Parts: sequence; structure tokens; C-alpha cells
Amino acid sequence: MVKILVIDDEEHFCRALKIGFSMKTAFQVKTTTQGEEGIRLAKLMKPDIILLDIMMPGMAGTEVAEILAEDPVTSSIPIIFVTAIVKEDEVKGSGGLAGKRIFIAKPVNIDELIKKINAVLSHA
Amino acid sequence: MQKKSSFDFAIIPRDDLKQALRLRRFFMAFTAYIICAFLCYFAYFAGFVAWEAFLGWGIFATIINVSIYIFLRTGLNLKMADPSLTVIQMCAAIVMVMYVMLFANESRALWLLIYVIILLFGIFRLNTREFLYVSLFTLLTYGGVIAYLHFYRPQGVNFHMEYLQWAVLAGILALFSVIGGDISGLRANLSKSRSTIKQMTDNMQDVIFVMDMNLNYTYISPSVEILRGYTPEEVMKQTPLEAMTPFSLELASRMLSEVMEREKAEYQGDISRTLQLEVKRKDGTTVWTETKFTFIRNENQQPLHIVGVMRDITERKKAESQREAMLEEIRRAEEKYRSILENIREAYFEVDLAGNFTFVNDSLGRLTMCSREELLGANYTKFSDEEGSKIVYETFHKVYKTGDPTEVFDWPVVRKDGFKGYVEASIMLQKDSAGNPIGFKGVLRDVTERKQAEQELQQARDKLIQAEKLSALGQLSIVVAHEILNPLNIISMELQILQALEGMSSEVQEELKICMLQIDRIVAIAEELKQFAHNPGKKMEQADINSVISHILNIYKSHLRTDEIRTEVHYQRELPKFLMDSKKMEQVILNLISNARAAMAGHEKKVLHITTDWGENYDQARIIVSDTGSGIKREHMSKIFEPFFTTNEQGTGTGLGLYISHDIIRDHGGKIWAENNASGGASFYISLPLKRNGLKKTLNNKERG
Repeated sequence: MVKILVIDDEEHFCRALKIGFSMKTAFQVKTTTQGEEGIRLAKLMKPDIILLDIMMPGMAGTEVAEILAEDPVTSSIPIIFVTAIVKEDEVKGSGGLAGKRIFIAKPVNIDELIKKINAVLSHA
Repeated sequence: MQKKSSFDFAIIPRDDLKQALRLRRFFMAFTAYIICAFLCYFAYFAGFVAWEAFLGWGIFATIINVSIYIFLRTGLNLKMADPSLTVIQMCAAIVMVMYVMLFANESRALWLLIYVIILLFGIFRLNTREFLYVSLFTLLTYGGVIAYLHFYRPQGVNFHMEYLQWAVLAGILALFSVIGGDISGLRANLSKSRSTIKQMTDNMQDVIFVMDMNLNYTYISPSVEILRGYTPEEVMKQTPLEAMTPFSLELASRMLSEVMEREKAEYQGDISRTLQLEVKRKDGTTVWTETKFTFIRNENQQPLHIVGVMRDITERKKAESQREAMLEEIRRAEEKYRSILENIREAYFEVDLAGNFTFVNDSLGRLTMCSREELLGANYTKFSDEEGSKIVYETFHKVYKTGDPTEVFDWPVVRKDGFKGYVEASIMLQKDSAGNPIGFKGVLRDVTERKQAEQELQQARDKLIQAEKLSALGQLSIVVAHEILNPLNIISMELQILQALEGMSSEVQEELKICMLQIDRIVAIAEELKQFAHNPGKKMEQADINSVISHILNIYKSHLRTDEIRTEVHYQRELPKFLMDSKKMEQVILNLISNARAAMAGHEKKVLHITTDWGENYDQARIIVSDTGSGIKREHMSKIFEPFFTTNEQGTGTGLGLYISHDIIRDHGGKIWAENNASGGASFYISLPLKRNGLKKTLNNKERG
């Protein structure tokens, strides 16, 4: 069973993604709109993959990624940045990000996202 | 002689030189009579002549001499054809000799010698004709003597001898007349030239003098009296210090010693010196003279005399000093004018019609870093590059044609060291007294520092804007990403879910696909906007700015018509095509027009002016977009080019138009700024370089790569 954690401040997006995955995959999806909550959930459920938004009120996605990378429990979890910012170099300045950094642009095509997740998982 | 001295008046008059000369000659002749008297007495004593001869001769001689002296002394002679009475005196002497000869017996031939002596005197005194008359008279008297002897006392007379003597006398007299003719010719020439010289020296104002090498006068012309009031005699007795002022004396003696010094060395040609000497007059005043000393040498080149010509130059001196005073005044005025020119910071120049500098001040030297010598005669093009020279030439040409001085214009000066300075100039035509143009004059002001300060300010402002923009860029991305892409993302997700739902009719699927396509369009636009913020992505091509503007106006004209905005467009048709991203440029123009339109909303007068023209120099194009709207508030002026700044009502503008326009113009190497019009409304100015080096383009390409 593949466990996926979605951290995005847009609640509607989280909901739609959950529905989308349930319709097309057997992924077990957990969502949250808060960065801190996301970190707590990541440690708790140890997901196979994290979908992380960058621009969020409160704790930004890059910050969340940094904290996750520092924790040995979560440092090995691959993260897919789901963001309206497409350029990789735009997040580069946000500190040393550990683990795999994969980007996917909003608006998200659910089929492509699934493909990407599968690719990451098979790679791991 | 003795009896004559008893006269209470002078024997020889002093007042009349000619009469004095005649009297002196008379006494000379009188002496001859005395000698003759002794001869006669001796002859009588020796028994050669009878006593009657001696007595008769004595009485006769006394009568003649006394009467001639009276004639001469009283001046009766002056009434006669020949005032010297030479002929009369000679004839009288001849008659007297003839009388003696009557009693001379054997010694008659000797007395003929006296004839010859008398006639010898005639050679020098008489002209040829007079001499011939006297000769004839002589021969006749001698002939008379022979005839008398022949008829009354023929005893003891050798007539053959007498005839021979007569013939010899005739021959001698003929020879004398020939010599006399020659001598009288010479005499005439001599007296002619002498009278010419005399006339000259007497009438000449100049004083001529001759000095020996010990500086004693040997001659001084009478004109000295006119000049100095002293007679020549008085002058000759004067010491040099009495003759001239100490300063002049010093000058003269220095000159003399210098010449003497040179004299000691070898001969170096004729020496003459001209000095201006102030000489003393008898009345105590002084007179300025110009004296030329010439050193006269003998054939061995030894200096013999000093001949001097002294001329009164008081008038000239006076004129000179007046002129000097005037010149001094002019000099002072010039000095004043020059010092003004020299000391002003502004460079002043004059050029001829060919553009060569005829006058420059030091400031121009400082401005161009050339010396005055380098500048004078040089052409103005020396201090401009080709383009600059063209601008200046055109300005000169315009001034020449119109005759009006220029407004202040930019003269692109290239200094000697290659530094390009900023110079403001104004020039005007220079005319001669007849009003014909002879050149130009102008003032240049070095504004390099000011311009540099302005540029630095502009750069600082640009940097600030750039910095603000960079921070705004992130913001822009956030705006685009969050506010557009996030909602779109949700819509997109929802649509994808709908699409994934089973049991949807094909019509619904079709509609959903349209929705997705529209989302793609929005995403594309948003992407473009984001892309723009990061990468200008220019497409540079040669384009005509006028066409760009007319194209936009064409697109926009219906909007303007709806708003009842009148457009007035002035194109500078001569503007060349230049390298630009015409799509971006259209965007700028559109921005400005739409801003103008917004600014004029609600105003009664709605006129949109668009002008294209040359920029400050001919290397720039200028676009001016003016409106008659509400203008820009002072506090807004510095913010109008900032991103998200808008005065439009919330929701009607993004506040990005001018920001993007500024960006585009800057990328084209140009400038955009705004000013409020005096008559209301605002004007946006764009200045774009017509020629650009490829540097910026290459840089941009690198950045993109």
C-alpha cells in the first residue's frame, strides 16, 4: 500500500487530489493545509512520498522540506514539490534541501502526477 | 687803402653779401692798379716811359677807382645790366694800359702782358659774348695805339714787330674766348647746383651738420635757427650739454661710443644711426628731433666726418603720444575684456567662416585640454567626433542662414585625451563693420560634471528601481502563481475529476475538454507574464518607430473615438529605422496611450498628442505622448514606474503598465520619464538611441544562455 502525504494550503486542491487518487489509484492519501501538521504527520505515518506546496502561509514548503531533511526518520522520504513556481533555481536559494527534489507545476495533471509518483517509487 | 678806412661806415658792407663780394673783387682789382702804379713809376724811373704816361695813368686810375667804389657802395651798380661792373672795369683798365703804351716805346710788348692778365680775369668773370666784345675792344685799342704811333710818332717804332704783336694778341684772345666759354659753362653749372643746394639748405626745415671725429662742428645749416633759435655760429660754440637734455646726451654718447667701438674692429660697411633726441632751444624750451648720424669715410675707410640730419618731430611725437595714449586706452579696454574672457569659466571662441579658431580663451583650452597655440588656426572639428561635427556644422549653418543666435545646444566635445565631455554651447554670427558675416563667436560651458552627476543620479535611481523591481519580481511571481494558478489548479483538478467520473455523456466530456483548453490558455498567459518578469526575450529588428505608433493608434482608435479623445500626431519622417523589439515597443506605446486615456476620463478637453522627433542630438529618437488629463501628483512622480503602482480605481489597472514600459525602454538602451505640462496634463518622454553597439545585445544573449 503506497502512502502519500499531501501538504498544500489550498484545501480544495487537497480534497480534489484525494478524490482523484482514489478514483485512479490505490494510494492511501493523507492531506493537510499546515506545514507544521505536515511534519508531524510525516513523522507519524512515514509516507512513501510527500507532495509539498512551496508557497504557503506560515511555514513555507522549502522550510518544511528542510526540517524533514534534518530528521533521520523523514530524511529519506522523497518529496515532490507541487508549485506554481516552475523554475528549479527559484527554490535553490532556500537552503540545502536533502533527498530527492522533483517539481511538478500547477495546474496539476493528475495522470502525469501519478506517473511521476510511480517513477519515483520504482526508482527508490 | 688808408684813406678809405677813414670813412665812418664799413668799407665792405655786411648786410649784402653779394655787394660785399663785389667790393672785395673791386679791392682785388684796386690792388692790381697799385701794383701797376709801381710798375709805371719804375718804368718812368728806368726811362722806358715818358712822365706824362705816369702822371696821366695815376690821375685816370684814381678817377676810375673812386667812381667805381662809389657806384658799388651806393648801390648805383644794381641799376645796371651788369651790377658787378666787370666789363666797365676791364674796359677802363684796357684804356689805361693803352694810354701807358702810347709812351712805352720799346717796352710796349711788356705792357701787352698786362692786357693778357686783365683778360685772364675776364675769362673767369665774363660769358663768351662779353669776352669777345672785350677782346675786340682790346684789339681795337691796341690797333689804335699802333695807328697813332704810325701817324704821329713813327720814329723808333718797329711796326713789323707791332703788327706781329697785334696778331699774337688776337690769337691769344681767340684761344682765351674758347677756354672762357668752357669755363663759363662750368661756372654756370656750378652756380646752378650751388644755388640749388643753397635753396635746399636755406629752405629746408631739417638741420644738416657736419662734425669732425672729435665732435666739433665744421658746418651747420642755417635752418638750425628755426629749429633751436640759435644761429649756426652760436651752435658751434655750444657744449653738448647745452645742446640737448642729459637723457638725450646719454643716448647720443652711448651711440657714439658703440660706433667708435665698432670702428676699432674691422670695417663693416657704412654706419648710420638714427636717434630721437630732445634738444634745447634758446627760449629754454626743448624740441624733439630725429637725428640721423652717418659716418663718412675716406677711401681708406677711415671715418672722416659725421654728417647729421636733424628733424623736428615734435608734431610727430605729439601725434605719437596721442596715439600711444589711445592705444593705451584700447589696451586697457582690451585687457579688461580679455581678463573677463580669461577668467570666466565659460569658454569663449571666435572662428572664421571655415570654422578655424581665430580667438580662444584659456577656458576653451581647459575644456579641450589643448594649448591656445594648438587651438588657434585649428578647425572646430578637431574636438568632435564625426557625428558631433555634423551637429555643430548644421548649427553653424543654421546660424549663418538665419543670422539668429542659437539656443543653448549640446556640443559633443571630444577632448584631446579622447574623453567625451558634455558641453553646452551657444553661438552667434560675427559680422564686420559692413555687416557681412566673417565668422562665428560663441560660448561653451563644460557641463560634464553636472551631466555625470545627473547620470550617476539616474544610475542610482535605475539601480534603486532595479532593486525594487527585483523584490517585486518575486512578488509578481507570487501574485501570478498564487492568485491565478492556484485557483486554476483547483478548477483544473475538479474538471479532471469530472472527466474521470464514469457515466459522463460524450457531450459533457466535450464541454469539459473546452474548459480544460481555456484553462490551458490562462496558464499560457500567466506563464508568459511570469516569463517576461524573468526574461525579456527580445526579438530585435530594424523597425520604424512611426509605423509602430500608427499601428497601435489604428488598433486603438475605436476606443479613443468612444471616449471622444482627439488625437494629434506629428511624425518626424526623417527618423531612420533602428533596432527594436517592435512588439515590446507597441506594448509601451499602448500603455502610454491607455494611461493617457484613463487620465483624461472625465475631463472636458481630451486631446492626445503624440510626437516623434530627433532627440537632443541626432543620435536619438524622441517620442512624446501628452495628454490633457489631470497630470501626475508630485508625490506620485517618483513612484509611477514602480510595479503595482496605480492611481486608477481598484480593479481597473494592474499597476504594471509603466513598470513594464520602463523595463522595455531601458532594455532598448533608452530612457522614459514623465513631466507635467504647464497647460495641464502630463507628458511621457521616451528617448531611444538610434545606433547601438552590439554590446548590450550580446550581454542579453549571454544572460539568456
